[in-house]
Amino acid sequence: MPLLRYALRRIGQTLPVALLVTVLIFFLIKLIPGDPATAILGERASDAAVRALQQQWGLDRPLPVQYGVYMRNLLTGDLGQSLRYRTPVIDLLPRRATVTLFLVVYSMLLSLLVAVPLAMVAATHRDRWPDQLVRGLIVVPLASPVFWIGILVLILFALTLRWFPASGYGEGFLGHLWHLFLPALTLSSFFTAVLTRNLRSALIDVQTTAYVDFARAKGLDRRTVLLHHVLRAALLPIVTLIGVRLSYTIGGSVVVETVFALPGLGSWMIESIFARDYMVVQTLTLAFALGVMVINLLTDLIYPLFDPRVRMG
Amino acid sequence: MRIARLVLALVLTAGLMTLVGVVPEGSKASAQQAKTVIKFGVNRAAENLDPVTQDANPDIWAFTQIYQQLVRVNVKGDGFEPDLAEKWSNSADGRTWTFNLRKNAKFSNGDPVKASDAVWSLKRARDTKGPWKWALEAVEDIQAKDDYTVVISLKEPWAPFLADISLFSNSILPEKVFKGAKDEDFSNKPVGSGPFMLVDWKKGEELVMKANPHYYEKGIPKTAELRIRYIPDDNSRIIALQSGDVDGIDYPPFSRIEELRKDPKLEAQLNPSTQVSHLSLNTREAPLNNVKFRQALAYATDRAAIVKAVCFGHCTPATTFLPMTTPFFNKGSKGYAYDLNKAKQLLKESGITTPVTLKLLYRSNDAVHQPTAVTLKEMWGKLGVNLELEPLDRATATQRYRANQFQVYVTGWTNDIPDPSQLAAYALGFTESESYHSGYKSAEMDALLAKGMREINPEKRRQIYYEIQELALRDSPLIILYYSPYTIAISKKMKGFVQMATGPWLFKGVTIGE
Repeated sequence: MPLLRYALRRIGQTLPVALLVTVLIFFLIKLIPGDPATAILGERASDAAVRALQQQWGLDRPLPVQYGVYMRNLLTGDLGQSLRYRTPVIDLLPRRATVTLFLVVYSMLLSLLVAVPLAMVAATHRDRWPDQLVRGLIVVPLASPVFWIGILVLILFALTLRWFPASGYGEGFLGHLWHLFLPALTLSSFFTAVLTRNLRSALIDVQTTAYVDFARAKGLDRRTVLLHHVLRAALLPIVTLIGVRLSYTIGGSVVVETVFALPGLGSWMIESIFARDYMVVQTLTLAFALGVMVINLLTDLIYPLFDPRVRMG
Repeated sequence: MRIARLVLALVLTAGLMTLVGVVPEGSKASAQQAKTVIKFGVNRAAENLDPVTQDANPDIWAFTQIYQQLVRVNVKGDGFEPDLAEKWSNSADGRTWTFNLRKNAKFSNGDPVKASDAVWSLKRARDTKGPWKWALEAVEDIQAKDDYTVVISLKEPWAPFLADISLFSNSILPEKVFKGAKDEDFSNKPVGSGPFMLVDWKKGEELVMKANPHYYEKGIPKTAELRIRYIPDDNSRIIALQSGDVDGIDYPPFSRIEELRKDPKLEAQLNPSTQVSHLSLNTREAPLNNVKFRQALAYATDRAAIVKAVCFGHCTPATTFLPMTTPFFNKGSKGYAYDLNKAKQLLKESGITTPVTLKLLYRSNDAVHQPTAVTLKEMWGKLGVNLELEPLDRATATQRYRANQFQVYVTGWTNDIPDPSQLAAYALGFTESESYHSGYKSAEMDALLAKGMREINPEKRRQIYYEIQELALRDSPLIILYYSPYTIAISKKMKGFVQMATGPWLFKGVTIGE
């Protein structure tokens, strides 16, 4: 069970990092001027009203004490209250997390669905017009801001063609699939381009290797060579790429969630920072940090499945 | 080529399958809902539905659907209508108010609204340390004479009392449901006697309300369900309206109003409001402690140009600190007309040598404050005032302003009650907020403000508030900029929508046609 041991060791390594994240984020967010009571009550409320809220939320206590309370609650599974919504964070988290996860996975699948065929077309027609067309096309998402693509997609598919709704998350699995198509398409655009480029050059590299020449020499038809020998080998670096990009995609979801009015983690995080909703920001930062660690770990664990040369030591 | 064709076919098929497989289901659903549901898109999400502790417009405007008060403000925002109280009277000495409740009013749980509920709710509003505590400060005692009579005695005659009692924070909640309840229950599980009741709340996403079957007005609300959806991005909110995702939206930006008006399916509204924008000047320190200098700045401010740059011409240059729709607004007030020569003259008289540098603090993510700041920098530059712009995020800017750490601050006001006293006390009275944190303190002004609160005779009261408006212009602790309307855009299928001058929407008379 070397794989299991490796996984356990990696998980053990992430714990101190996670602890460090809690310390950093707790004190960093307190360094930002402005506090939740002021943010919520605004300009007009009396000083007495602001002080009363600060007291009620324990914000008048010394910072180390507040940190102690936070850690004690965290260890007992209590993520604290969203001060803005006056609701336990744990009650709000599942729905929000589902939206973002659905969106991110959906966009990754769309990226693969589009990028793999495009790259194959480009690689097999190297420097001829299909290749030029694909390479030209993918410059567009690479060079365009995500929110702008989002608005364009909205105008085309939601407003002019009316194929998809302009906002919201929908009900049920099919409803989510339908409502999240445009956001996922928008979010996938950048990664689709990156993936197409990388996969195209990987395919071209593999095509020139000796074992592909050998496969052709054996008399295998082009299709078999491409699908069984070339693509499989070319997908290897892509796994790492997906792992790395997944973290970025979670970041990109912030913009997409705002444009499409999706109740996900990204938009929640931004709003909570502006509202100084401390517990939400702390929870989400920790969750994002853990998420990135888990993705990295999974990437490492998946690698040997594609490349028998890699073994866990 | 064979592979290329195969791949292309695969991609197209996958794309089409997504479309064909899923689209019809969703569109069927929305077509069926069209007549029984109002869908409204808003730019900010509700956070806390406790009327006593919350101070944010999205929540306040939701209160109007869920709760009732003893009396309510009329739509124009200049008078009162019966709400839970059918009639009311004031004693000869002006200190005792008697409210007779209607007997057919019920909470959404079916319980009748009784005087004891009113007493309990008003006492809670009076005793809770929240943003609205001032509204019942004149109250000495609140009692139920019988099941349907509420008697409120005051410490002294109080002119704005009806306005105060009509405030949403003085909503009547069922005592039986909330007695001893936790704060979270007030915030998350509202129960009132208004036309709608909350049935589902996905926070930061959507408020779902259904018609209150026990609402006392027969046949009201006209539509069974109301969904208030949070769509923060202005462009997306407009697209949601244009594509039929929602029936109406709030706050389309001024820059899009003309375009929306050209759309034959939509109606863009500019509704009368009590919004007034102004600058607060920190009068504690030089050079802004010099009244001539402040007047010079007021004259150097080209309000027409600001209205053009910030509101695309849809606002009105302000002539007094009171919003146009407020009772006792002085229509004859001239304000400060743009006059650079007069400004230069006053600057000379002030003895302040230019160039002089001032810092302008404002909220960075605000669509109107940013262009206001840039326009001002250009205008005041002509006077020799170098305006340094200091944009900060909302919470930080608010904290700096509250701590009086600013020189010039871009801010604004909306009335919560149809009476000038709330704004006058806040903007010009030192005790309430150090006069909008300007530090302005004037014995003359304080005397007038106190008189305005206690004078019962409306004509005499009008004169007092005219004087206050004049004095505010003379002393200029604030530089008033413009009055702005509320912007709304709705589908022409939506009939009966009303926005009150104090801001809240009324959905109870709304129908959605074919």
